[in-house]
Amino acid sequence: MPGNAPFRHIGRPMPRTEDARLLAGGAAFVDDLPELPGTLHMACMRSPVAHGRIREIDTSGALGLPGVHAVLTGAELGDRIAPMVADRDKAGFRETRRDILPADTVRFVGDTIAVVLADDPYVAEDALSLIVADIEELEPVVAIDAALADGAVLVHPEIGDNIPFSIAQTTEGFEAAFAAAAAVVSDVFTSTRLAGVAMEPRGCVAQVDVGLDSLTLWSSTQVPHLLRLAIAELLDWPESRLRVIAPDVGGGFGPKAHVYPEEILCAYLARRHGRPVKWIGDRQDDFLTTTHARDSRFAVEMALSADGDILAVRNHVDVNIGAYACFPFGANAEAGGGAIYMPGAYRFAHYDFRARSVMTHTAPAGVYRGVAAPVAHFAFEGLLDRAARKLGLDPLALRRRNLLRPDEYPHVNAAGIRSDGGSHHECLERALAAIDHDGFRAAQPADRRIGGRLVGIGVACITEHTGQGASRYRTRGLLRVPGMEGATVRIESDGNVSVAISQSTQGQGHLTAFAQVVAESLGVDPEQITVSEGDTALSPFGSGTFASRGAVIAGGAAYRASQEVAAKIRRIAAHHLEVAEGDIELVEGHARLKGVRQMALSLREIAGIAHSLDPRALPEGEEYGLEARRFYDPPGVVLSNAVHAACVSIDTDTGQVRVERYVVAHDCGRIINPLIVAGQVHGGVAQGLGQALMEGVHYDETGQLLTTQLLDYIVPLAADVPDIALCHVETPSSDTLLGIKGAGEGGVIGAVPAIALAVNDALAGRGAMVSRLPLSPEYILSLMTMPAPGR
Amino acid sequence: MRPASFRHHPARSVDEALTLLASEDEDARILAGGQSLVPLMNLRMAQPSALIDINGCDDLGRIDEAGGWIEFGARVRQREGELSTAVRARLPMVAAALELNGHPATRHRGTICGTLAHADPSAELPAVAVALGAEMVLRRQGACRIVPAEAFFLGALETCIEPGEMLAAVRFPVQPARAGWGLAETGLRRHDLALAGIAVAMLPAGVTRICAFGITPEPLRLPTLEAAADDLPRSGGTPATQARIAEALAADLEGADLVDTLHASARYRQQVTATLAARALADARQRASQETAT
Repeated sequence: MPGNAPFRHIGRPMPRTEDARLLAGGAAFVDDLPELPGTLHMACMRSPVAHGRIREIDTSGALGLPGVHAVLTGAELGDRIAPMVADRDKAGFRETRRDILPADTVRFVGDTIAVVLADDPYVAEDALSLIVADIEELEPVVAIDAALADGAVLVHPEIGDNIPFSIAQTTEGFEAAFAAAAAVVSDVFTSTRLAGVAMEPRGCVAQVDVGLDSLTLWSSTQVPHLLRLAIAELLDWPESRLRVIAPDVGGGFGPKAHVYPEEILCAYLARRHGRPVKWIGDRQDDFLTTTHARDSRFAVEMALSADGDILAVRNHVDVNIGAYACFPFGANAEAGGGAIYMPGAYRFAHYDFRARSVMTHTAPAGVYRGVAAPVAHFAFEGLLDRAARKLGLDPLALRRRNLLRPDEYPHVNAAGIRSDGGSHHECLERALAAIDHDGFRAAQPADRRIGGRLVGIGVACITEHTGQGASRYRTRGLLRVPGMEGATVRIESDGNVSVAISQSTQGQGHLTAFAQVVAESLGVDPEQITVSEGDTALSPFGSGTFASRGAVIAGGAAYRASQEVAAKIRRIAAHHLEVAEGDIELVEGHARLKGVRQMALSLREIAGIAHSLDPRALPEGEEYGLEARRFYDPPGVVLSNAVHAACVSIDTDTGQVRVERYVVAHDCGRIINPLIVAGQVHGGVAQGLGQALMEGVHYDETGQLLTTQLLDYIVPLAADVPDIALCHVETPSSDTLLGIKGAGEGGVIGAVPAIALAVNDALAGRGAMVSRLPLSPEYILSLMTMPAPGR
Repeated sequence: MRPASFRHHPARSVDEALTLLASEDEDARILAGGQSLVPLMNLRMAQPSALIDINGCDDLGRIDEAGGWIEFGARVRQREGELSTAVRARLPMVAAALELNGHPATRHRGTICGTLAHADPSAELPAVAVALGAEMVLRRQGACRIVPAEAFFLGALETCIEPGEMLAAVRFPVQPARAGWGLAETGLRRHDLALAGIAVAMLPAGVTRICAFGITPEPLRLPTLEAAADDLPRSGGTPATQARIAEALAADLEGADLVDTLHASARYRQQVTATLAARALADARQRASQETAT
């Protein structure tokens, strides 16, 4: 890795220091924390209907059950907890509210209508069955079209329709460019709703110090600081008395980046009853109430010249966001993303988009790894396949023609997003070579049939929006996402290093990666550095872990803080070694005169000086301690890019798709640790494969959730995921500290279109192309046996 | 995800289990591996009043071969059956079905009788039991009755086991040397519940028994297809053969209550069952001819 030549720790494939603990069962998730004395267990009664008016909830039976401490309904709660309001009225947005415990109207199967506190979780669950809810059932709207229809039932009548967010933008000259095209291709691409399915469902424990009126809340969250902010706001409680801790978290993937009613209720009830309150969701709670995603429809048109230049693209996105706008991302995350993410790796000047969020009586939908990008790229790449067929061009040649070249950067795309670089052509050629594209084509029969299977290859070129800073969130209209991250780096008096990061980790390898960044500045072994995350009392304020921002922003903050500490170490060392600061280097745990091993002070000695534990004094004017707290807020957004290539085969009898080979050429700028990047890509591809081939949340027409268990919601298992070959391409960003770009979502973003394109190729002999996800055996079989659509 | 309360009675022998069962009310259930029952209890879809736990019953843990039958006691784990040399040699379709049942981890715990008594429509073993003509040994305190597999399964998660009764054992007729068999299924994932499947048992005397699973609430014998099987040409894959199989299957499925779910419609299930039947029949023929050769 020549780009990393000046680095000793950054870029090193260092095994993750957290793994031994995680793999040996040493981790402590919320439910593993020792139970606090006097703990009350909370169970939630969920609305059995999608839309209804609560007439009465009779809790007397539950209250009579031995072991039940209290039962709370919305009517009894009154206005003691403020409603969650994620968006304010402004251009494009309409304000809606979510009551933490609805007293009047229920808006999805899973809205919480009563909570039980009991001495043990079994009794709490028994008590739920003794609550009698009298709810007047009202007509629900479940799907996008029904919610948009004239006279549709309104989820939040106060906003006048079911569209809390809407945005439209057209480049100047769009219509003329579109009209001048030699060919236009269009289609409607749809994606079935997904669930994030973290291994650990949500859960939290609240403890209140009654005398101090202070709260500690442990929660399985990705956003401890934003959760604290929400508790302060909704419960009118000073932030200074609130501490939120995300202990080990068993997967996040976005859904846990939202604040949920259970967290607010546990905090409220612990304060009200003066006892710890614990709630641990199960898989059914998770499917019912944890945010869904990707319930979207992209109606897309692409206009091209006869030679295959993309001239203009029209993109109308509608996203079903369920019953409530989620805190903190509000109503616009997926719809806005669906519009903004589409112009990715390809060059086109004219873009017309309209994006709407549509409310329905289903579980709230929000951010999930990749947000709208997997479907946006599925649609865009799908149109490129259609264009190639219509124009009689080779699909790869069409892509090569339209991919942005390195010399076109920095580039501002048709959606107005600036990017400082992209290695699309290099990634494409590396991926094609690694999957032996030419060999595959040579062996592939014209009718694609080998034995009882159809074989195909798909190549998708994608970008990933990462490291979004404060300016980007302000532009997007988000009020509660600060955008920056913070880090504290402290050399303890014995010379060991403590680092506290404003994020929280759900298994991404943060503790190793940030130790490598700090080690780089301080010239110590990463093993000497202890990184902690997820505790608002220990770390500076920040946004949290989502949207591929960890490496870029928290990494940047850790780098800045460690550089500041390094500068102080140099000053102290220069003073005592009587040399110039600029001649001091930090290596192997020492500050020394460059190249002179004998002229050195150990970090331990310097720490002793800084903590007044050494006969030598600090230089005059120098503050005690060796500590710095710094924030980092990168400019705008930085785009990572990748090319995914997949070979698939389809069983012609059953329609079942099998992914046979898989290659990713991935560029996330400067790599902190290639093993961690590989892990991110592998996991992302597995999730993308799930969306492409099998996953789906389904409601019936009355709004009843049909997929409430892992029996019904099918996720890929190890045997379904092929080996994934990975080529690292490293084009450091000029916009971010250290040139880092994010890597958390590219895997899933690329896998969805790549697998879909490979299926298109396998079906090429039949003339069919896929336009909806997932590519279930039944859907594929229907494409093979029915006449192909005209386009 | 927390079961309602229940009484738990560990038993150390089949007689003790039957006594405990007789002393309990009619909502008592047998607990063996618990791989199906316990998840249902966690969802409170099953709320047994009591569990008679037979994991300590060593006398139910045997695989016995005698008189042309192999008998599996109620505590024989699926993995034990799958790896048994007697089973692999003389009941190869049972071993194959067990390999498709769940995952190694669940098979180490789950029992052969358990998957039969659970009677999940997508399970392989009930259909294999019907195709092979297995017999269920149902015992209650002081009584025992033998029920042919075909009469045992009444519907989805429904069998003829009565209150106070337990499936104490299942026995399969040992397959003759020149028997052929075929087992084909398809699911959404590589190791998944079957959306549709076919078990074919082809006996040397020209008797073919075919049973479908995953497409109807209970394992379904396919008599028309069985009758047609002998006339089908040996090469399985021709369009003409395929059409004849589909036609026979359509006759067998006339009026059947076909499973129709999110993951696969009734139409899809019927369509793939025809191609699975062709595969399973071809496999059975090939195995029968191999057996003849050796």
